[in-house]
Amino acid sequence: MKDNFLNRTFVIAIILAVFTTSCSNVDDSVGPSQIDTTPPILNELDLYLRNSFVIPYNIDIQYKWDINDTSVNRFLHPPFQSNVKPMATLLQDVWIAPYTAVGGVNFIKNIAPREFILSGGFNYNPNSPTITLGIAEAGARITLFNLDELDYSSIVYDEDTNNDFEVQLSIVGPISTVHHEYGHILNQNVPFDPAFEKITPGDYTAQWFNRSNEQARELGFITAYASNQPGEDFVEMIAQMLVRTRADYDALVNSISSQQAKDAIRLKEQFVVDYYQDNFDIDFYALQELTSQALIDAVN
Amino acid sequence: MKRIFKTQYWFVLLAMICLTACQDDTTEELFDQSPSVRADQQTNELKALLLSQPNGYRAEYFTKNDERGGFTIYMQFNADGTVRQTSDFDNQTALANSLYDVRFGTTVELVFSTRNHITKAVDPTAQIDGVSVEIGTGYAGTNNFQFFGNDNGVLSFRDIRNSETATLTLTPTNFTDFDSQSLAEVDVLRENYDKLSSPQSDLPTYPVLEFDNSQGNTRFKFSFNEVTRFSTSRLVTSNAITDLEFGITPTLEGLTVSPPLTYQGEVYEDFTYNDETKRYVSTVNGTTASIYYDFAAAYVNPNDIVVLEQDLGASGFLYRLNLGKNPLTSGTHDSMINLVSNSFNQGLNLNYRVSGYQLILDFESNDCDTFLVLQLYNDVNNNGVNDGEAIGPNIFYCFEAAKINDGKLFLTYTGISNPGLAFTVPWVQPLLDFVGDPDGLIFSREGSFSTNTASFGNTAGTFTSVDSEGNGEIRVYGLFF
Repeated sequence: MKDNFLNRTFVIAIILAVFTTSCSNVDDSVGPSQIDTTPPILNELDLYLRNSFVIPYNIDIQYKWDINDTSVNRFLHPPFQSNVKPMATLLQDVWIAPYTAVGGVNFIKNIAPREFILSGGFNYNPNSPTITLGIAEAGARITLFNLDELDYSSIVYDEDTNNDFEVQLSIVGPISTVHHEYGHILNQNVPFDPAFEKITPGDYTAQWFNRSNEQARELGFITAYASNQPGEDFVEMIAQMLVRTRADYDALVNSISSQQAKDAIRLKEQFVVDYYQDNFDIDFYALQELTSQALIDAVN
Repeated sequence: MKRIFKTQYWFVLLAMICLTACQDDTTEELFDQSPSVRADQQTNELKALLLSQPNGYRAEYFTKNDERGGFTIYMQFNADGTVRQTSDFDNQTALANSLYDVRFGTTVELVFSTRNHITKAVDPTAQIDGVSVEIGTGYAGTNNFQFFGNDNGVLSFRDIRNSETATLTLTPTNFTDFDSQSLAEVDVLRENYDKLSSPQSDLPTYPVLEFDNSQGNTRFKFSFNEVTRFSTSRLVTSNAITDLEFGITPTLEGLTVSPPLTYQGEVYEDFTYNDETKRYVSTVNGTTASIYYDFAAAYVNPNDIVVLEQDLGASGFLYRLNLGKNPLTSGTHDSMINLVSNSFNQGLNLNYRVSGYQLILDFESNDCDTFLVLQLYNDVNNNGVNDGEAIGPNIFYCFEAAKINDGKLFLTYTGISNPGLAFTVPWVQPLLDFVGDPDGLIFSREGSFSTNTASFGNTAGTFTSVDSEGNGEIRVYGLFF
């Protein structure tokens, strides 16, 4: 036993000797950083975005193209530089300011996407008659498309036109997208009541685009896209209420023929109102008044 | 126990061999700097190259040369991260500034980071004169270009997405004034492109791609989509169909094709426009490839005329003015329609004008089952344009059963369907003469219907008068429905 112990000690000693001497000539001094730390060139727009979004809210408005920010399989292009500031101003006026007014100065600072990606053209979905209006990723990033196509002097709701593209070409398009995607981010922080999914459980479909908004409303969905799945339904309720005055929203609901559908939408509305009140202490109707008025002010 | 000791001994010996076996290797340093320093150097090298030309570069960009043609963009790079551009994409050629960046991604990349002329290549809604290239895809270009090499100041880039089919080549302009000279060159490029996309003649003309070499003369039908800038040129013989597919971009001298045209062992890439012969010509080793409009078809496809006997659509062949223009309709045809229109307009003392006509063929019956329907509209605005005004009457003119002889269509006029409208016959006589040409009509299939304002999946074709008298042929392009 003793011999065995000695032999083992001997072996370990040899191995240690080899390891501790093998790197004896390495220079252990630490040199300067080899990464390029040159500050980027900041133009006037960059400084505006830094001062208005990065510093106060830690939100980066990214308008310079990075191929990794969007799908490499889509044909997308960056926006005109001149179209960035109008969108940034719009975000401040119709999203940040109202939420700050009703939720407190830290609301957007605490719960917000850390990055907005702005893309100039429409994002067409391959093999589908649809376009993607925006993308929310893990509560951290919202991507907005078709920035260059927007008419900043126009408010068009889907009930005002037979052509949904006209909605997307007015500021209602991107702002409803922002409210929609921000709704997802709020849901990622605090899930909504699962009972919401039981209100109109039988009519959700992946082929939602085969329905018109009018048909969807007669089934108890505020838009056709809301009938895709409950998660989209919930945030579509948020978005469609926040881009309309309460009177316009009420008129829209009252225009639905089916009483059952009207009741379903009113019940969904109550879920949304309670969600904001119970989880964030926000009066949703007060928020609606501010967001809808800001939208009207933006075009005037 | 003894056995265990021996095993350990062998392990120690093995470890020592492994640890010391390579100690005398001579190590060669492939790079004397760290990867990050080398990446920075490459990035800075490209930045320096872009800025080394104060009057910028002339960029030739083929976005996807198996489906699309190419474009020229003039780019002047500035140290503040801006780039000034104009291009020949469309008639919106005004110079514009945007941002660019040089980054190290997979390799050194040139990124056009805000929108400008070159991003028209990646616009999914790109269109020319109201005709979409392809909704959702456009010209299939990119905003990111991988730097591939510097050949005596000519910089070449590739697209990650279309790595085999896209090329971007930047050549120094050597201008003295970027703004004025780039715009002037864009004008030349657009003029050269217009010469390619429309015939310079009122007479019916046929686009031809012709090869001349020691084996003789071969004529392909040059079919060119002026929106996608892509050509599929075809030769049909009795036993084979040969297609040549390539993208086209106008150049200051004429045009360049990509991929280069390979025919019978020779490679043709750059074509020079000859203003005298109105031909784009590429000469290689004593052989030539030429693209031009000819008064005779590249060849008469023996299969085309037979198609007329098949059921191409119950309503026959349709020519209608408000479906847009196609260069295959000759100016002589337009003049003839104007003449007929004016006759109706003045003869009826109303504002009726010709909006189009249908030609229905029957190869068996002589009982007015082959007929021409003249369509009129009420030109209330009296501007000679059918801008959504009320439809006028249709008038039917009868023919004997259609006949095909020697690859040509023969129609014989028999009279008007409604004798009460016989007074219109002299007014429509030029059109009846064309359709009933005693020398016959040559028919050619032209794929699916496409004009400057419309594209449909309907079969398209042309009828051309044979004109043995030499008075000027007439050709009309239309669709079957």
